[in-house]
Amino acid sequence: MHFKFEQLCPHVFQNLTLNSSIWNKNVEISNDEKILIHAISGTGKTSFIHYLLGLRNDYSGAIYIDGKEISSIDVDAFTKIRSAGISTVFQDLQLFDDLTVKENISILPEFAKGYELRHAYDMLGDLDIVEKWEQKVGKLSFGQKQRVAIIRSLMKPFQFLICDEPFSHLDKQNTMKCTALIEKRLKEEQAGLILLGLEKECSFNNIKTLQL
Amino acid sequence: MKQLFFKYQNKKQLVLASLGTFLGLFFLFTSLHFLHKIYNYGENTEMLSKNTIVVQKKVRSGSLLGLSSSEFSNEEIEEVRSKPFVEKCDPIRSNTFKVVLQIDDPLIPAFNSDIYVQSVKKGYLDVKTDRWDWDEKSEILPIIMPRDFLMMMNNFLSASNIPQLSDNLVLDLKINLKIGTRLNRETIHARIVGFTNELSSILVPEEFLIWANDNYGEPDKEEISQLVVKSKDGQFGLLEKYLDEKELESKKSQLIIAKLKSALSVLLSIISIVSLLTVFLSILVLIQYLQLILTKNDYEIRTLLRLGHSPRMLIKVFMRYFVLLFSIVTISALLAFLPAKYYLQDVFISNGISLEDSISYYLYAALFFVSSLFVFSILMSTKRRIFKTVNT
Repeated sequence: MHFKFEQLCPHVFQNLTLNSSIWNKNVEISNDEKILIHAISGTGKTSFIHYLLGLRNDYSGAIYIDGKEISSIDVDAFTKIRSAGISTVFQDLQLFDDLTVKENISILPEFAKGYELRHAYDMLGDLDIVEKWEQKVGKLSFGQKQRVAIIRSLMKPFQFLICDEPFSHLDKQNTMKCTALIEKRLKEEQAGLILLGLEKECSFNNIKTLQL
Repeated sequence: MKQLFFKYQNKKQLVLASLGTFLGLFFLFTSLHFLHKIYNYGENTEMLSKNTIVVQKKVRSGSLLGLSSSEFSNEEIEEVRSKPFVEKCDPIRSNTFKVVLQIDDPLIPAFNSDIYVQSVKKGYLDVKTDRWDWDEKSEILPIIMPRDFLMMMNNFLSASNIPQLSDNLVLDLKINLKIGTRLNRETIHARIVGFTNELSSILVPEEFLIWANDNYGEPDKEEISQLVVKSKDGQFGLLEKYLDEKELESKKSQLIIAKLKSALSVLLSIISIVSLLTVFLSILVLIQYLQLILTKNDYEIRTLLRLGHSPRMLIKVFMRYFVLLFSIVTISALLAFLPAKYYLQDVFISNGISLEDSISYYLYAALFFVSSLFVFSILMSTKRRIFKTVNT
């Protein structure tokens, strides 16, 4: 999978002078790359993710996914991209509080296709929250929820993993564990990574930094 | 996923809407079924042709004292024939021999009755010629049964705690006519081919009556006290006026049945319309309920779409739930309709109105229309909402 951004700029930033390596620039990202997009608050981090997922179109310029302009991709094709092309860890996590951890993971659309529940259970063990397996997500702390959201994003096929501040409520040790888990799955899926964060640095190997 | 979407349910609203739909459908099915059956009542089984009536002289005190005759003379028959609004007129022939009707059928207990038989010319009957043919070699005699007789028989059955007979069952009864006196008697096997409201006697083919009168009857006893008259199309009113002037009368049953049919049809039409409105309103409440569920599940729908679930799959979840609910309600209404149909049918039979047994196609049409409307409305509401959420 391959992203191309041509002079992309949110409407709200149109008349501003921006010091960004993405807005109003031509940028290409392939799935053999890992990119850290460093973004301070108010620079359009969440907007950028929404543009990539086709959830918003309040921008000028163009976004291409595998050479196809995003607005010309029909609903069915986008559903396929969301289910098997891109996996996302949203900043607000997008979990279902009334479902258990297990149910939150098994609700994934591609779940039945080769991704067994026991793998998710093992990952929960790797991230020290295995006892939360049958607990409702609403009862978990935000840090625990973040780990569940990360595991859910890894329990499906993807060519790009997009993470919006995935470690914001995790300590260093848990961040390292999550990073290792993500690295492992990126390798298995031969997928690229777009990581958006407030920090300029991260512990991923061979990661390239762009400024939003 | 069902657990996710339907957790915020206000069951009260759902139960009320389902109950409304059930009642609406039940009354719609029942009223439409009987509307159709009442409308068609007598259409296929009434054997006297359109615009045809049987007339006789009015009974007056003079005739009781023997001062005036109830018979028609040839001149009187010719006078009726000569009227411009009369298409044709013929005497009704009667039996001059003794006839006993015997029902020999396992369906009902043995039944014997002295009866009269009459015949009219073929042209006055709506019966296919091959079913009304008779000659001396025929094994079965076709007969047309007066409805009064059927009603009397059903009253007898009802009094004996035996199920009453519908038209279709009566058509299959094995009937014998014993004709002649004890010394010269013959048993004729008969089969009913239709019914009439216009005569009180059993109708037989003219060939049979001539043959039986010649062989078993008393010569010169035949009287012509009834005529069958067919008016020209659209001039039935003139014929009725003429009959009044001449102090002739016709049996009013057809007129009464027509009035009864018309009154019942109006009543059932009103019930059908009210039922249809109830069904529409209930469907509207169910759609509102669906929209409420969709609104309450806005976050869930959006998240599932973002995770890669297809909009069509989510639409299917809602469709399956509401179509299943509607199917249960519809099947319940149909199940409630069946005993109601049998009960009402029995009431009609007790009152001499034997309706056809099969379920009216009006009911199937209503079922198809209401179901299609429901599925279409639910599909469009869900589709609009979910596709609106796809790119948000």
